[in-house]
Amino acid sequence: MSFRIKKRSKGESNPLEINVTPMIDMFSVLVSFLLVTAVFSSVGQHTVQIPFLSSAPPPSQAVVDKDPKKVLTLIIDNQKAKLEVTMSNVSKIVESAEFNIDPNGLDSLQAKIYSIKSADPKVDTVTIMQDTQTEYEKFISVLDALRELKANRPPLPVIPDPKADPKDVPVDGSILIPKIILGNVIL
Amino acid sequence: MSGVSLDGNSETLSLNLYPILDIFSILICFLLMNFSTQSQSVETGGNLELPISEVKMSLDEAASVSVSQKDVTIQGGVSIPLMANGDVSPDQVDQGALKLAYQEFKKLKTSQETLKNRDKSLSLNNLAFHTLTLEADKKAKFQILKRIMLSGQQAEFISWKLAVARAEVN
Repeated sequence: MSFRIKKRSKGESNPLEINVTPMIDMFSVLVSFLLVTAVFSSVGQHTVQIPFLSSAPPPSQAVVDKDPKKVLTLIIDNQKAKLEVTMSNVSKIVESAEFNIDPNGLDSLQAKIYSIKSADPKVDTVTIMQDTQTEYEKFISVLDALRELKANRPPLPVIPDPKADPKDVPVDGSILIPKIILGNVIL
Repeated sequence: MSGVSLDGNSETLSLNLYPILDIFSILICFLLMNFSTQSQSVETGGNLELPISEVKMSLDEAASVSVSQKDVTIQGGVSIPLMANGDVSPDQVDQGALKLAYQEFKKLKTSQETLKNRDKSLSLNNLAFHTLTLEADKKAKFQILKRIMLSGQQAEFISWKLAVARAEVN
């Protein structure tokens, strides 16, 4: 942008300048548009499932005994999360551990579940039983620990589930436990 | 671009625009990097604060039920006030579920069935047909969330997408 009052004499050379005014106009419009349309906070989602009553017959004991699975249950309130591991063919608790619901405790919880899943990659479900007074924020922090694998832990192999939404279970192994069931909603 | 020059023959008054160009360039780079092309928009209202989460997955549908500190709003229409203890009054509850919420979810399910009958290519077995979205305040108690989920479960919605504020934009 320049304002000139020139008195030119014959033979004087013109100063060479780039006119940046159109560029500034364009930038102004672009900045205004981007500022108006920009989304600075983003909303994400956790997917959870509610158990439902089915009329299908339960699998026979022989089938369950042939391929026993580890069943993980997490009992939470506002302060603690208690992990119980049982086998699908035996109702007895084979392993139990308690964690505080704070960053350190939740990291330990993820480390524990990571070690369980490393030993048995078929583990893909955790059933959560929560106290009625549990705050939503605490519950979400537990879900983060269960699902979102920390960057310092290498991804685990993913066993594809044809029934699952591919968006919920990315193949890169960044999701630790893809299936979360809220067990006590119907209890 | 020069400043001010004076000589015997000419007088030039120029404004140095390069700094403003630099600022605009940086600003545009920053905004373009953070620009989201997703059309989804969620109105959370003044008395609802979503919990912060490390989740990477973005919300893919609008909220159906929102639980603020004062009330429960279903499908952006029907509103049920909450009491001081964060629960609803007992006359709103039937077998642990919210009566109004159940009625609204049932209507939604009926409209889905109608849609399915109209368009045979749609499958009601698809999980999306059994999914609702819950947008709850971070201080909401599980007591009220359980009632809402139970209402949905009774209307055959067995999957819930829980809306959260992402800790960082990827």
